Amino acid sequence: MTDLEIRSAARAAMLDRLRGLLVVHLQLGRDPDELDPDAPLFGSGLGLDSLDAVELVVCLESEFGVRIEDPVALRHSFRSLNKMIDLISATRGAP
Amino acid sequence: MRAAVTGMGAVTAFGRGTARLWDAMAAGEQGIRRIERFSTGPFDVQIAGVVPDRNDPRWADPGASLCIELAVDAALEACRAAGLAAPPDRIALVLGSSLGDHDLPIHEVTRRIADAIGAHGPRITVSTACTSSSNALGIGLDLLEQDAADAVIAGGADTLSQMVLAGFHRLGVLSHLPCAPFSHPAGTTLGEGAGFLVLERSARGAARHAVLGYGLSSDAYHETGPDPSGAGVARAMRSALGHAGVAAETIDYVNAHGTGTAAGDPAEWRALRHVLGARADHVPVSSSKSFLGHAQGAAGVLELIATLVALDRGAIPPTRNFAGPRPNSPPDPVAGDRPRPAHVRHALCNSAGFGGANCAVVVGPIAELDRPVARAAIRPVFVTGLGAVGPHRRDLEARGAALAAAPGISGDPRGLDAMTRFLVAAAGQALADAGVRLRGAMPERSGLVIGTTRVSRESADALQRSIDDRGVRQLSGPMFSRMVLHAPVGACAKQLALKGPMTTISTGDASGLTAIAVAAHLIAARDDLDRAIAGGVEEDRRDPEPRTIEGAVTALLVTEPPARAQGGPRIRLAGWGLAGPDDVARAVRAARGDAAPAVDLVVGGAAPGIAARRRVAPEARGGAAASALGFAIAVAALRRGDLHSALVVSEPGASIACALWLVAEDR
Amino acid sequence: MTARLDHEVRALRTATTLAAGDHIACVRVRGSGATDAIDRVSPRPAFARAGKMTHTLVLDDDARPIADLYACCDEDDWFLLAEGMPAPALIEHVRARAAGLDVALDDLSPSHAMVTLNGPYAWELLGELTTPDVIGLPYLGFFHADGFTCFRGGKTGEYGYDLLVERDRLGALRDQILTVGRRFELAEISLAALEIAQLENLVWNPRRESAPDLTPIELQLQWRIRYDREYPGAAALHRRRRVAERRAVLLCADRELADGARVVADGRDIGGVLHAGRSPTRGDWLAIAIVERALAHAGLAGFEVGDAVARTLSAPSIDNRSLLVDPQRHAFATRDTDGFPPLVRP
Repeated sequence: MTDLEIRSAARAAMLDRLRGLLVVHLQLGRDPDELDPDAPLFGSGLGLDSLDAVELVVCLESEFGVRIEDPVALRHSFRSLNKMIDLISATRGAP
Repeated sequence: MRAAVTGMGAVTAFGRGTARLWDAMAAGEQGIRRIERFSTGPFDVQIAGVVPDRNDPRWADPGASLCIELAVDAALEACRAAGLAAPPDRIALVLGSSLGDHDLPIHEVTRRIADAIGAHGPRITVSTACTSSSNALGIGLDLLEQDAADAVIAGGADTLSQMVLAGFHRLGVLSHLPCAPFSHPAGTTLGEGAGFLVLERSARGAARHAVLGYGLSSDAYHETGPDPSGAGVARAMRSALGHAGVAAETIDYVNAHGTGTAAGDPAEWRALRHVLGARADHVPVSSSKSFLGHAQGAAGVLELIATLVALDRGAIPPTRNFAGPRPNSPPDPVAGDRPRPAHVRHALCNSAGFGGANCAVVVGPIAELDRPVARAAIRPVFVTGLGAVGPHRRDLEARGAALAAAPGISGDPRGLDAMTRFLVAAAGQALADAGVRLRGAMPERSGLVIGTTRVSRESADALQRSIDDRGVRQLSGPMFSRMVLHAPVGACAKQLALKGPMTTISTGDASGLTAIAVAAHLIAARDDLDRAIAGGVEEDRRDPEPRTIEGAVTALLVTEPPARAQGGPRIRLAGWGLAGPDDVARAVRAARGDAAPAVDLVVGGAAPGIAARRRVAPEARGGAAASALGFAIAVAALRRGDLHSALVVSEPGASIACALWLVAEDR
Repeated sequence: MTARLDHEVRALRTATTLAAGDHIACVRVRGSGATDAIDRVSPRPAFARAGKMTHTLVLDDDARPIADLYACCDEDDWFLLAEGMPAPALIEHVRARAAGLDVALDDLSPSHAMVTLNGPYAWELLGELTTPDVIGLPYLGFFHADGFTCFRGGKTGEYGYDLLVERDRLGALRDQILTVGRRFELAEISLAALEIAQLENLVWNPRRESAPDLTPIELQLQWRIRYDREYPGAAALHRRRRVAERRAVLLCADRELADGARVVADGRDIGGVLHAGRSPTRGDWLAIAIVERALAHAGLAGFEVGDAVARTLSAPSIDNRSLLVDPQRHAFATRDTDGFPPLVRP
């Protein structure tokens, strides 16, 4: 596989893992493949609210060991699944 | 209806007794201290307003017993101060308590407290999160007004456990310092305690204060965050002033809800500016949470008692920990460590809570007890809609899901637990059955009164799983917020846009019926609502042989006589009665008034002294939905046209006796 | 021209702006069958509660999105605010599927106009036009103010309010906005500026990002549809669901990216640019491209687009100021001392 394909596969795996967690912990009532990577999680998009944000913080901590101290960074990082993956990757030094 | 405060009792972060409360306030003490009762290691917060003589590890896992002990202590102090002489079956207890998941059902907690203090009249638990005890005072006024009791011991109790701390911590609303309402840093501090007032229709002896009125509203905005415009809080305050017959211009002091949170404080100040107008900048507004902590369900009554003990001495309580104002806060927060001398004509006390419940209470000097107040005439109450979901689980899933998905009911039913979905579906059905669509100003004049006995088992289990899987620090915030009895009711109000008076009560197996009686009284005796959805809901997914019937049953009560031909007679709720749990006969007499002792139908428990053509005892295995189901059966029978009157009576074993009398009227 | 556009986008990202809303078609739907008529054409349930807006789509029978739609419940009637489709076409689309329903559809453009306010302090400006309580208006809520109807939508990632006003009051409203707006450094901006801001936030633009054979599945718009209901295009979506091979992804590059350019990775053509533009906020070029699903992920580098070397980004491509501006605590007057981080991460 090319370097690009390897990195894409890593992102795809992370995306699927996150989708599964959201569906389970936030009772989204959708199939995981319906959760587009750039879809807005809050407000109109998938309809998450501040209580769900609290859950997401916990998810990231317990599933990925990512601890978010800065509430400002937190807001930007929760805007889409892709943003969350960016955060996880940056924290863990993943590809 | 105004009531004299003939006695007060309190257990707070300062210790035992109202004298201790005043002495500590006067000495500028701080009630918030280090928590020693349980480990705070997992959390970033180590302090709370804990009751000092119960702040050690012996009390780490007390279940409901600590709550009962504190409540009995405070209630006995209040009764002794009042020198209560009424017969025990004419003494009511109304307990406000926030958490719905003690080891005991909450109505059982109330029963034990009532038995210990000798209150054998009606026993009602109000569980509307942080407004519980304020709301309980209001229910107490209503009980006096409808002559269901001669004295009401009304107030609340809540204790601090590690799980409660964990939950608020997880929601990110706690400050690591003693909270600084209207100042910095943002965040609240938890507390605990118990407080009661003895309320009576006339003043005796040393009574110095009167509760003049109360008001309720629903934000219908969010599960835990308040409406930032403060509109809901403002509605409750205006409603209280109207009920009390007191003009906003005569409010000289506000005891704020004042938790210190970033979202709550500005919303409350906005509401105060709306209600008090230009005077708002000159009225002192202080928060007792700054030294008591946030005593959860007991906060309302304890802060009112702090206000009254200060007013007794010509002073008002301060706001401690004030280090400069936050933007959008009162100019006079009574910053300081000690009470400030003040002359106060009337005081307003606010509470607000999870699920969007708001409650305001107006108090004044005892001299105003008998001042004539322009009262709205007693208004008629009609039953125009019914909704029922259940009792079989399969039906519930299908009906609940189908109804929730239909346009006109709600947006996304995502994330609502089963208990909430049942309630929303049943409530929506009742509106649809009546052909009512809430439009224009109707939502603000539409109430919701629901009875239940336990929180959603589905959510309680999910909360426990989150603790088992991730540890107590990482418990599920959303699931924690559902551990108040009021959670599905607040969610229902939000789904259906019900913004009027809202409350959640429990009386054991009579909860659904009692809720209907409470709603009927609100409609009949007040002029700030035109309709209310009332009934009961239960969800018990854990137990394969549940003793409660699972589901929800609601009725739409309105004061406007139904105009359009629904086919069949119109059904009027002609009377209702509440009495002590062993006094069904009195409840029935109160419901029926002077009417002849024969009715066409009796549903539910036995109705002594009543001759009935037919009796129906629904296969009621208990619970709030079952008791409301009895009411629905009676209404449905009357609608068919061959019966003219029905009496619905609560089953024995509840914490109250409740009777409702229905008549069918030709249009 | 570029400098003017840069100024407009900067104002939208940091202060307040006013733009004409001629690109928004406005239709009133009345009658006892109004709710059902909308329900029949909307890919997701339209929230039938007064004052609530549902952000949905108009699809053709092949599931191609032809308009971006806000369905707004006004008691018994509805407003439909559409972009990408003129009002007559929208009316025809709904009417064609409203057989048996009592419903009347009216194009409001002869009698009404729209203007749109966008920016991190748009709420504060609007508060001066109406009441400060407007901060309580939730996203996707609307209300009738004195003289106009205010819809809180916003497709740029900033606070955004669309105002519907009778045409003969438009002049007075604009004057009022411009007067109050002086305190907020209000800039009048063009549709082009709005569209750039939309691209920076990857909010779907029906005018520039629609093509045959692109469904909500490719366009990352599945959040606007439900698979468990009936509507035009539903069957096509079901067929496409398991076999879709492409997905939209956001690209950025230091050199110009052009509409229609091919995207090459590992020496293969993997897709093409749907819509590109310069981002004044970021200082580089952005594009929404439709590429093979396996490679349609953010955080990847090494894509060749024309002369440029591009990498993929997660959306939105900037850190919108509005996400941090809290009407309870902040104000335009204190924006410089409120300590906000930059709009673009280094």
